[in-house]
Amino acid sequence: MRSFLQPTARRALHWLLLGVLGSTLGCTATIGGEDPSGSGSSGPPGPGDNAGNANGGATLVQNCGSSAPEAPMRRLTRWEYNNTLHDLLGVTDRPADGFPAEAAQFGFDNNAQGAVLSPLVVESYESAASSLALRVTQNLPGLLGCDPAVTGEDACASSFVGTFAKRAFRRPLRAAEQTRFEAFYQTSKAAYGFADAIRMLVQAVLQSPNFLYRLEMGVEDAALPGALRLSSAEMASRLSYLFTGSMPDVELLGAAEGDLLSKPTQILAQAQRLLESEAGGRMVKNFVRQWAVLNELRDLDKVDAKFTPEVGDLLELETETFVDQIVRKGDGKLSTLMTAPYSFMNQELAAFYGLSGPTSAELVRVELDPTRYAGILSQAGLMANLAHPSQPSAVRRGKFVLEKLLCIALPPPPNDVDTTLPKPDPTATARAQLTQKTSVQPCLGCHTILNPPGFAFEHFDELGRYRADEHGLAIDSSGVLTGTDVDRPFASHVELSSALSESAQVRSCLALNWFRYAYGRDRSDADACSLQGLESAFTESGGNVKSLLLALTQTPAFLYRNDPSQGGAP
Amino acid sequence: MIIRPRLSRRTLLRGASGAVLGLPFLESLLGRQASAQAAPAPKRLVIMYTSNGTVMKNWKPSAFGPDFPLSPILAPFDTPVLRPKLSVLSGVEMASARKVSGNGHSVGMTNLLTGRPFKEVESTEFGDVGWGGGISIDQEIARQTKLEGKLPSIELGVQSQREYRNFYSYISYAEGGGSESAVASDDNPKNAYLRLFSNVPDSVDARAELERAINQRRSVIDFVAEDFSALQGRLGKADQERLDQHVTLLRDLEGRLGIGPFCGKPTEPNVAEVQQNGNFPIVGKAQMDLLSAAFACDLTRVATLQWATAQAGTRFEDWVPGDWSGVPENYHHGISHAAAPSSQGNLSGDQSSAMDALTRINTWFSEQLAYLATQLSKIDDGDGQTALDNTAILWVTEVSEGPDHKFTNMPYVLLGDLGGAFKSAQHFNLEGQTHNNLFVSLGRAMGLSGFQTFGDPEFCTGAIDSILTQV
Repeated sequence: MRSFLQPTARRALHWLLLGVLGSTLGCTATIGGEDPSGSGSSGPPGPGDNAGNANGGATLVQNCGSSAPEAPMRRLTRWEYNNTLHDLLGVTDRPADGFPAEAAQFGFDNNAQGAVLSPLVVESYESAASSLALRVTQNLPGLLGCDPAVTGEDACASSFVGTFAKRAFRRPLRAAEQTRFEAFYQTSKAAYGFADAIRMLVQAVLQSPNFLYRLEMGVEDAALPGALRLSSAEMASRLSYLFTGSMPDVELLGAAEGDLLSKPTQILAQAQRLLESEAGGRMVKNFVRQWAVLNELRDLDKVDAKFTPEVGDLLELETETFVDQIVRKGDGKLSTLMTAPYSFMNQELAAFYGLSGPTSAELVRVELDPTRYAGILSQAGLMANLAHPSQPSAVRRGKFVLEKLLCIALPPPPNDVDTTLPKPDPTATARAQLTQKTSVQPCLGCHTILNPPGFAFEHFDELGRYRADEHGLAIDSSGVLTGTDVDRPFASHVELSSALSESAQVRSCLALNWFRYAYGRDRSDADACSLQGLESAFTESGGNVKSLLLALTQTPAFLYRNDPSQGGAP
Repeated sequence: MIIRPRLSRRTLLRGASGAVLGLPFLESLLGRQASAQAAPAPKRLVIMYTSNGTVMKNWKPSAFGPDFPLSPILAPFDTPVLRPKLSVLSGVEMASARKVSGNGHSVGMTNLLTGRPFKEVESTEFGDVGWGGGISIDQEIARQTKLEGKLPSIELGVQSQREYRNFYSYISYAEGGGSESAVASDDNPKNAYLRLFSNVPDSVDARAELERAINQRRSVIDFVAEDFSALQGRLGKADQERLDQHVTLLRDLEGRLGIGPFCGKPTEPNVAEVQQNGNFPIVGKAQMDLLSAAFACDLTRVATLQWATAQAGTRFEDWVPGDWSGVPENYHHGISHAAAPSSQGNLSGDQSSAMDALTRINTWFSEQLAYLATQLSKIDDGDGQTALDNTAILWVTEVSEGPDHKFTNMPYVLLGDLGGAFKSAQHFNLEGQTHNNLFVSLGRAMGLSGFQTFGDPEFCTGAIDSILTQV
């Protein structure tokens, strides 16, 4: 089993906060991003163009050479399976929700290594294939696309196999495969009749490795010694699963058939189209749902009965909509995500927040008080999740800011430390209590870094709503950010979010998170150039997330794969 | 959910109408099932997991031996049926956990059933954590006892995927361990129902239709398996191994897909919102009812029942009565930290109220286990025996006590003696023993006479003779 990080990378990434904060504090944190002191501009000169420019992509790739990263085979996640069944057969009831969950890696469910295989997984595929095939063959004429009474059963079955399997496998069938399917159909028909034979074909396709896995054999390219380029059909799937979480659409399939996905510029053009299409929203939403752990909101357990599963769903929708509106339909800026004084609510959600305004069931844009609300971090979904059942949690909030935005992971508390929350005290704020509790070693070292970005959000209660005071006591949400590239004092979460929105470390961290999400694996030493390209594209576009997303398609990590016949990983 | 009381395996040989079927038809209907009449009753294993350890001073009985007095947490087993089946195994160490350091719950959870230090150790992102370092004992025993036509094992969960969804959420691992081999417990009783009972016919008429569908499914699987073999191209070694593993599982499935026996098929459970905190008890009950029914029909012989995750945040105040006001945030993990280790002398008021709360939680889990065992005691295994007589249920948790996350003195409870393979009910002093050795003993008691070692060999010297009747 390979390590998540190559040893050299690990050495380079270890960064002792000790040195920054003085040796008495004793907290060894690990930076998952690049060296936080080095912003994107301090590295070797990057490509001059960003990925938004069609030539920029090509430049980027040339600069990186053809280093061939690993590309572990990926299986459809439950989410991708649902989307694919929707697009392939019009199935809307999310059949994969009952499949065993992926094992999350780095917070994402689409890592190749998280695709657990167990008897139950295989059973789930089999049983879903059986029941879905039964369902979709209820309307046989609609499914077949030909009339067996007119064309003859066998001709109709044969054309159905060709078209259906091509869409399901995301590539044309090879002649030998077509022959195998036809033989299987004949045997089944002899035993069970025409309709059952068609059903069994569907059942087989939905269990095929060509459907369940994204198999990328690659094609040799004289310009890429030791590496493989993806075939146009394989690239069509890479693009569509990245941007839409589903099978390629008609246009992509057409481009694949015309071999029009072999050049970075062609790939970039398709990426732009997909990102702007309706289905492009799936990518942004799925990322943010996992990054911000919104998928737990429905089942989040709160003492206050106001926090219903329906509110949890709405909060998830709010944050997903907010991010999608800004990234794909707005200015795309990270700074807007971090600081926007507006959000998206319907009547029920506004009532939960205690705000007046929208009267619709649809979510609409709501302007908010900019002294109270600033961007994604002040939304109740995140704040409620980063809290306990009946009180907020500065520790969880600080940890989120450090881990998810700055890629700083603090070690967990030592096992013998009493981590019990102080009992609520009507005469003291939670901040005062936590400060006192963590003012001694071995807590102090880490909590000096951890507490301030958490205290910044003390104005948000355990349900994530703004509160003016804490049971009558004044709230202090000021602090000093430490150990980052934007260290500074801040008066409140509004100032903190503003500082984070300008941080190169945050951009680098987000690029790393998108790297892991997009490529289904952790970075390795071979990916330094790919990551650098992503960071440059992000920085040079003025922190435009959309540019970052498009740049994901222009890296060696996306365009190439290693050639296993050349002796394995580089 | 209905489990026919005293359901006899002989009733399995009757059609839904109750008429005794003619033997030739029976043979074809039930295949090997029918001949099970003459065979010894099946041996079954259940491993039940609960989170966050126990309160040692309220768990450990005050004396060893056969006549040990029940502790407060074990009081729910004080029934005429269960008391003679209850053994307490104190002093066992989860010694393989010594080899690694890091988050106590992660270390405990990954050593829990594997008896190995964790692998894929990651100290850069989430602190020192990892995934199970090898196959878990339930999967190992399932692998060695699997029979054609039966599920090798079933993994039932109760909100095991509500939190974390990573190494904190898994107790079972297939061969090799690691994240790719993590075996998820299924939290939805409906899924487990379909998995267990969808091929169990309701009637003789339904049987013919089911058989046709199963035959079709098997030929589809056969065709798909060839698809896997036909894959050719530049796949890396790891990817090729993945596909090989997939096709092996597919062939296994083809082998066990078959018509189930006529038996006490329960009604389909209908529990909505399985991840809502307040539904914890009803999901648990539905899973236990399914497990009993599966054993009654002999659909599987190895099961795990996983209540929540490591360092679970379940809140019990919704259904467990008592004073919950003493600790801030009544979630399980928090309470376990608010408690003091049992070794501590003077307790603060908050500490003793947390220990009271934790005692109530673990007593409630005893009640659940007592319910499951009582249900098993209503299943007739023939020859005057019940399913409970031929089952062992081992109750495990990832740390012995919450406050210090120790792996010594693990609070193991064993219900049922597997047809007399374990010595009769008593409180065993097993100080000096490792849980690897305990798992070897389980394998032996399950009838695997060749079961010599399990997990990290450094911590395994063989079966614990003092708890087995046959050494």
